Amino acid sequence: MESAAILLATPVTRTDGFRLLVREVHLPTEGDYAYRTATRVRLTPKFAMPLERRAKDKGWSVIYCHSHPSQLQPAFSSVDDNAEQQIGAYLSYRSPGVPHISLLIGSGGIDARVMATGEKIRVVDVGEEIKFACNTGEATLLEEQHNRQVLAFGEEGQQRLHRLRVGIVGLGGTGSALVYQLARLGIDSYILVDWDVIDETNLNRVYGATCADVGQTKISVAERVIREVRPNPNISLICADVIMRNVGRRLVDADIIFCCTDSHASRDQLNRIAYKYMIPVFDMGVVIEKSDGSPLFYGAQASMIGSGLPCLWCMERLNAKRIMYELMSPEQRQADPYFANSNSVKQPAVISLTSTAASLAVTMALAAITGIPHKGRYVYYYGAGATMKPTKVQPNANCPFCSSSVVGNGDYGDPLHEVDHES
Amino acid sequence: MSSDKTKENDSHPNPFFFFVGEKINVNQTVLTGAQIKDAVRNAGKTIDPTHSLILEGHGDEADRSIGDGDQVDLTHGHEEKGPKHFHCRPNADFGFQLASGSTLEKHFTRLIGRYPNATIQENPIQANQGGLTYSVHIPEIDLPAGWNKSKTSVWFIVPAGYPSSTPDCFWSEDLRTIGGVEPKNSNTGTIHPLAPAGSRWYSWHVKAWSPITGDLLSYVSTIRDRLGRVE
Repeated sequence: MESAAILLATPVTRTDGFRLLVREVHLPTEGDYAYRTATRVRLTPKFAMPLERRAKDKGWSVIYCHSHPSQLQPAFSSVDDNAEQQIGAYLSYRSPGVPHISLLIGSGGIDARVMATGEKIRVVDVGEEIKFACNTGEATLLEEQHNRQVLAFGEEGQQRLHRLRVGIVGLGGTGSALVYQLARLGIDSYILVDWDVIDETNLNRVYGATCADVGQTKISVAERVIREVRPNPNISLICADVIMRNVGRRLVDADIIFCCTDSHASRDQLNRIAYKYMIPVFDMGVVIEKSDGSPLFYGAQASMIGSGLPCLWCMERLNAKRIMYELMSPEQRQADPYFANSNSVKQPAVISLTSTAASLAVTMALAAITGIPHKGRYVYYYGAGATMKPTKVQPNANCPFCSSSVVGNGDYGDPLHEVDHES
Repeated sequence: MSSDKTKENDSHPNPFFFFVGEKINVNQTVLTGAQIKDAVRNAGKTIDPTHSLILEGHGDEADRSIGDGDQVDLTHGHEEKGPKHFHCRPNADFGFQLASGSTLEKHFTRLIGRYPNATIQENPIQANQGGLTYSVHIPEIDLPAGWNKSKTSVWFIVPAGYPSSTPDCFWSEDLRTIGGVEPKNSNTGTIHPLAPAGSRWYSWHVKAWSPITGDLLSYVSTIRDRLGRVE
């Protein structure tokens, strides 16, 4: 028997169209089918109309789903074409300005398209694993240089990597190591975000940076590193802090984001993006602490945040007071009597540790995307103990940033940070 | 169409009216506003229930808002100057609103559940260089014995990025102890962008703010905790 369902999704604009974030899944009972056979299915107006009305009231997209259980890789039929032509026009009248989708599920695959235009769309299941349930059919030629990694995660895994659009926020020690690895893995599409320039103290750890680059932007060095190994990359350069006006929102164009910054406000920004826009974020960092009388403590960590996973607040990795200060303008900070005491001093930074953090994050991302095994989504490396441990944290059901009520709320709800200065 | 509010002479042939230029036939010459809306909907048009039905005046006549219970005679002979034309007008609801669905909106709703007279407003632009901030004002908070007043107004700032960033410090009226002593760690020289000049600022901080457990109400509790100490 064929089955059907209706999903409601928040549409979020991107530069290339929309990203639809599924908020609600409505499964019919047997009584909600007008008829249901092995080759035909129709939902009753009583079931569908309130959902269409809800979508209209909220400005959401409607996704009509049905199954072709007899097909492994399903293909839309002429019956489907006809139904979509009619229901698509109706939905465009009821809820104009947002795309409405037809999603087809076979026994071994999924296909999806925009009802009004027939344009194929990609379906991504975002959670601990990022499953690309549907692609646009574009073929990707495998390159000789990737043969050895294809042996590890297969041709399909390589193709998934190649199609990714990756956002990287922060192109210092960890970010540059990350770029070096991602380019060699065969990723071609990037959004690079950093406001800073190379100074002499960066040369000990920024991959690709030379003495001649002092004073150049970090994103320009990263771009050069990518172009050295990728012939035709697609790179968007954003020379600004991710908390600045109109910057964070541009990352909605990315499929995944790597967070390589050390300011708490910028990490909080990416934490919000991970859940509001359902874009997985891989956060990483290094700790090197030297205090009198104690041996050096050093380590690195990487974690994945996003739908179904605990956020940085639930992991207690953000500091509200630092965020308050980092969001202040330079003049406000100067006028605040307490800021002088909390002002950050230069932290130690060593290339082997920034590279370890980047490698942990890249391997975790490979696991999420290609399906290779990887225990947990939060790994901590303790240097002195020479141990690496997965860490488990439970999300807090009342968290205002990662609880189910806010996941996928798009531009609704808590706004992104938008200031006019760097953190 | 049937109605008990029908005009006695209900036999006018083919009564009709126009809605946004489109002719709509009905079977009564006198209809209420609600019946006119029904007739429009029955003709396949959409009427937003929050919009007002407007009868367009002929010539120099003013347009008139028609309530659901108001009757309109659709007769359009020589004296009635022609058929009636209607349209719907949206309500122009302007006004301040916190970001819809935001944590701040939820937390402020919770706050006014406890302090119904509390208000929130955006701070002046010079206070927002680091992003949009707000001021919360609670007109009356009871004070324990020992202060020179029994109640005080309280102001505090909701920082940019709330609830990720922590509220910090607060202002009251210029309180003193009964003995005339200024409260510890306070002054009247730190200016709040909206509180009256001379309001008293307190260096008072939340030890460890968490956006998961903290809200405006819990922050007011910390303020009350400070004001509960007559020192």
